[in-house]
Amino acid sequence: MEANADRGGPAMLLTGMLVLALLAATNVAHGETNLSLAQVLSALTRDADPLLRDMVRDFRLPRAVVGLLGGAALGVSGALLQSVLRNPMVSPGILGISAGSHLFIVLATVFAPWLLNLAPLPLTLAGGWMAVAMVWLLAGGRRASPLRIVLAGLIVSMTLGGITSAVLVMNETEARFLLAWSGGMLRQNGWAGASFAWPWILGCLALVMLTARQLDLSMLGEETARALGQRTRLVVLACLGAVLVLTGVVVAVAGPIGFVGLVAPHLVKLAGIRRHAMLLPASAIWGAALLLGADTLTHVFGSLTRTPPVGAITAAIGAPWLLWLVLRGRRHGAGFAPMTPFGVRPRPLLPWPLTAGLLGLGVLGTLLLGLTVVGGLPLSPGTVLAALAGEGSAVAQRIVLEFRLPRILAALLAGACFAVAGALIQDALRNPLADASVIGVNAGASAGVLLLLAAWPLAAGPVVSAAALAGGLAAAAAIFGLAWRRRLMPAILILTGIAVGAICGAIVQILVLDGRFTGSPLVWLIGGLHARGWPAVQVLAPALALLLPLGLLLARRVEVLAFDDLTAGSLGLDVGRTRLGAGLVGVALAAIAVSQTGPIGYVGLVAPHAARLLTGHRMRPLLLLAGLIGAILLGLADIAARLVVRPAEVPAGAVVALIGAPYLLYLIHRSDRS
Amino acid sequence: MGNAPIALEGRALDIAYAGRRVIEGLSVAVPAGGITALIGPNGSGKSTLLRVLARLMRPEGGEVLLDGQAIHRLPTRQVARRIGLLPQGPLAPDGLSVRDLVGYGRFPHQGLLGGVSAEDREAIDRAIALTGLRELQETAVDRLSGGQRQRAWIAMAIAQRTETLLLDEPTTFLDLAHQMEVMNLLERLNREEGRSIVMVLHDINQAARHAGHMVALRDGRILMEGAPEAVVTAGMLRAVFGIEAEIMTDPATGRPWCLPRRPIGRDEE
Amino acid sequence: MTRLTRRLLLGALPGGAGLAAARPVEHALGVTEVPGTPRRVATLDNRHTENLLALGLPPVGAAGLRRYRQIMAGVEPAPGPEVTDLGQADTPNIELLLALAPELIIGNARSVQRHHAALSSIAPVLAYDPYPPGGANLYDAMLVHFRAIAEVLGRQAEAEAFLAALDAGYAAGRARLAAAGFAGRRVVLGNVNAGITGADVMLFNANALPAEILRRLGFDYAYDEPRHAGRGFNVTTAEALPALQEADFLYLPFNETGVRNLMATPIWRNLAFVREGRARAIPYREMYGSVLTAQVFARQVVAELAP
Repeated sequence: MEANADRGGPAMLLTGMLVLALLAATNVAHGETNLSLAQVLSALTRDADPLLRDMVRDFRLPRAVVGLLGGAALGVSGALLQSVLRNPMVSPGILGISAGSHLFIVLATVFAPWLLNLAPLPLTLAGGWMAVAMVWLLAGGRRASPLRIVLAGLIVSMTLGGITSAVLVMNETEARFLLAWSGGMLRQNGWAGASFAWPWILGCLALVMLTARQLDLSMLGEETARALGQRTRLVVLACLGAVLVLTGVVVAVAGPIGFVGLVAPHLVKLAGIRRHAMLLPASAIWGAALLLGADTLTHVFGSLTRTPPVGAITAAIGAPWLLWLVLRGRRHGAGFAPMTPFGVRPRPLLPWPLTAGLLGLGVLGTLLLGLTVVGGLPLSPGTVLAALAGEGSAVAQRIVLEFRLPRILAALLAGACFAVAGALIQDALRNPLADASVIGVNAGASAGVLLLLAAWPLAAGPVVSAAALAGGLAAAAAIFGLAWRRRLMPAILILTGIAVGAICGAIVQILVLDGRFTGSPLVWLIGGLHARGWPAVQVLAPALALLLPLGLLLARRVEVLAFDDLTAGSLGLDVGRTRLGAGLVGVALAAIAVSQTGPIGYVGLVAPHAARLLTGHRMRPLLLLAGLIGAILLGLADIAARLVVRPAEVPAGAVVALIGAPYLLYLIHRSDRS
Repeated sequence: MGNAPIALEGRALDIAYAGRRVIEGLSVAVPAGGITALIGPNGSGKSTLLRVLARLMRPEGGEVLLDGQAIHRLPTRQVARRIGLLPQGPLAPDGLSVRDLVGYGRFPHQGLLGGVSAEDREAIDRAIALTGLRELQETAVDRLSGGQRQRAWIAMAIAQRTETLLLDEPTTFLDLAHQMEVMNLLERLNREEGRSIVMVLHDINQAARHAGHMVALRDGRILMEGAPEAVVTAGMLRAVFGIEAEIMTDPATGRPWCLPRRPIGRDEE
Repeated sequence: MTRLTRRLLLGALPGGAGLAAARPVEHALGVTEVPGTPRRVATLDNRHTENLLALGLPPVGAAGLRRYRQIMAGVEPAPGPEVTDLGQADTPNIELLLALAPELIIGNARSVQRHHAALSSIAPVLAYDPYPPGGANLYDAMLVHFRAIAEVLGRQAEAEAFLAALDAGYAAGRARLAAAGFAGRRVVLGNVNAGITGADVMLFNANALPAEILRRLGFDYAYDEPRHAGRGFNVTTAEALPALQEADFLYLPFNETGVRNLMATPIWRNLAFVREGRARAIPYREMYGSVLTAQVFARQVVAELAP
């Protein structure tokens, strides 16, 4: 093994350098106008055509250098994270570091542009640090299992990404210009970016190389490493710090770019390299090659149509890679931990019908609140009641009966759909951090909508809803289809979901960017209930009426899924089919809800946990209570969304995330203490 | 074994695990109403065989017969009413109480709506009583000690009321007192309720003491099977486990007792 | 709000012009029956807020109004305090809209489609796509929409008067620019927006609204790429500029830092239009893209180049 690693190493480094040199040359030759290699070379001579010379020296070369540095930084960051967390599935993008840095840059651009120009690095560092802290907390701190970390990263990325989009939507003008950068861009004007980045990146790389030997030790496991005299904490902190700086610098000069940090180390490990003294430099070289290659591809596409963001290309290359990695691997999920919810009562606090009754009153209260306090016009409760009875002024009646009532009903119903779907999917995937968005529903719906609008910009509302439904179902079907051969093992489903989600995300990135000046593509990507009326209720109510009983019918079997697969099987459960059934009902519920409200996260994540605190493991009461809690949550979120910036409104999805994220963190914190 | 009634039978089984053929052309019969122990070194295919016998894995070739019917063609639930399996290190959701856990043993007997019948309740009570968990029935499973937890799992398997019970290393990770507790419980089940028991055991002496029938596997093949006295021999230990051992007889039980001396052919490594 | 509440309590009458016969009006989302000659009009897109102000019939409510007041500050005619803010353009406040009891709603087809059902339950909805398919001249599209709206509102005379004044403005500007030596000069308009890495340049295509205005001011527009005609612009990098350096370069500086970064590069300094002082900044303005924007943009170009 050792001998093997040593033999493969130099070859991998050498081929890497060769490929890198080739790609760098190609990259420099491509751009708005494509140059021949001879032209590039002549540009470097003294008596070159001044324009050609400037173009190569001040645009192409700095772009290639930023690509080189950025790719190396991301490749090494990925390798470090994978080693330190002993988790092959992590990278700066997957841990949400890029999303956090991105959010802070966007916030600064919109609210304090001077800060951005003054000190971009502290901003991206703060954002990245926040994301890592959230992931750490969500994943359960030191007890975190590899998959929990990946999932927590996914949730944090989605949350921060959602808030970023909400900020962008509320600030349209700035948004359009920031969007280009949201997808990752290597474009440089001159050497400012490169000269800012290189000391940080090379410094960190040098520092990290010093830890190579320590990292070899940490691969043996924390206890062994400590027994061998390593200060494990110090190594982890140093590496994490280096990753934050490296990623922060890359985001500051090139925007968030995913998957390079995931793929590059894997490429290197495939060649049999395990020792970090070789693994780290090789990851740097292959990371740089990947990023430069992807950037070159954007220019090839660019000359055909319009230049896509480089982040979309790296995702389009990296996501299939992740799929292959997941589906090929034999060991994932073999000894997979069971569902450990964040706090469960062995015995319910109150008999569940009583709890259900109380929550029912809560739903009713939310309904009444939604009818009276929201909207553009203040209506007294008396006026509302009169309107409900068909009395009073015509306008009041119309407002209450045609707008407020269906909208709040749609919010309640959609909230219930998301929550029931989340409960089913959490149990089916045996993971407390799962919900429909994990298995591609939200990303698929977004991609479906944007694909439709790209082809048919004036598509009518119901057609767009249908596209969202189709997209969500298609993504989920792809995930279940790919994972079926691995018997729908939860870990496989989740990782496949991340890969398929990333492919949808790349589509979204390209199309959002493309449509940014001609429409408001972002608006479609943010969940909310604006102008949802009776048609939405007419879709949601039957869906819930049909699928909730189906869920209740499956509930007893889904409950048994909470055991490990062998135990469940020995109890006579057809594990694969039950998981598929619960997954399908959950996906259908969530996809229908998303088709009416746009992607809304967190309801499906949080409501089931709140319900478990009230009722314990029993799946039937759990589904009902989660549904009621989800209804209240989304109902209240929508009311708040309409109140805070009257007469405008904020997307309800963002409000839910702002309530849901802290609540989830609190739940986890609480369960960790006990 | 001769013409004793057979509880469960595997015929010409070819079994692959994680893409690797681990068992080839293996036939095995489990005598009804007895205690059978599967022994063998690591990687000999014991656990895999147990899973195939419980219908939790599909063999690539051959079939498992239950009353002459191939179990992989029977509905899962129907099989689960007749064969129970307690895997190694089973996992329960956090916060589940002992009584709830045992209650899941009734799952294969319940309809789609899952109402709890009087018979269910009686089976649960009896399983809890048999395993001595009455005081602990409202305690969460994750708060129990190792021995208590294993008893709770066995109680679940008992409540399942299957005529055959398969257990994968039911005593691993338990201290000696708890190991004896579990083995006595299983003997009692076998004796008082007439259930056939098949278990994978690491400890040859434990197997020899409690089992009436032993099956010794190596590299996916059965090297020897029969009564403990016939199976636990110096020759078997050499062939199956690769050790030199002395065989004695336990004066209290009359069962064979092995005293390992040294591994064969390992000194030079 | 009190005004609205009073209306509410009285029970607003739907459409004061309800007696007149309805007539079919064709627009981007189909054909809509519009009864009589609407007086109370709500606009859901700043383009149409512009259109209505130019027609001398301020909307009763407008979505995106807060932004409009910032961007179009000082541009006459301006929306008065009586115009109700309906919130953001993409999520107009439906209840306020209903309470305003408009007789007609006009919006951008690309955002109206989302809530078309709710809107049309309040009043007839006319929706126009500012980017008609096929890469048409967007200025012409703007004129077509302006005249169509004027016709529905019975304000053809006002529309033609406004357009005549607009054209007169172009003519006067053309004369002044010619006097300053700009007649027939090739020109490109860019929006230097640069993001944080300082590398984006958005070039308006020949079919874009400002390109047409520059032509009407006597310039010859120099950037025409059929690939980008559908949207009327291309987002590219400064690498695209050398090919255009013989033309004059007018740019809208969206972001100061970006512009500074761009100008610090040798390639920028070596471009012919920079060396020869033919690169000129026009004060940044968000292009809502209708007749008032056109008027203001033309004035600013003239004021900047031929003061």
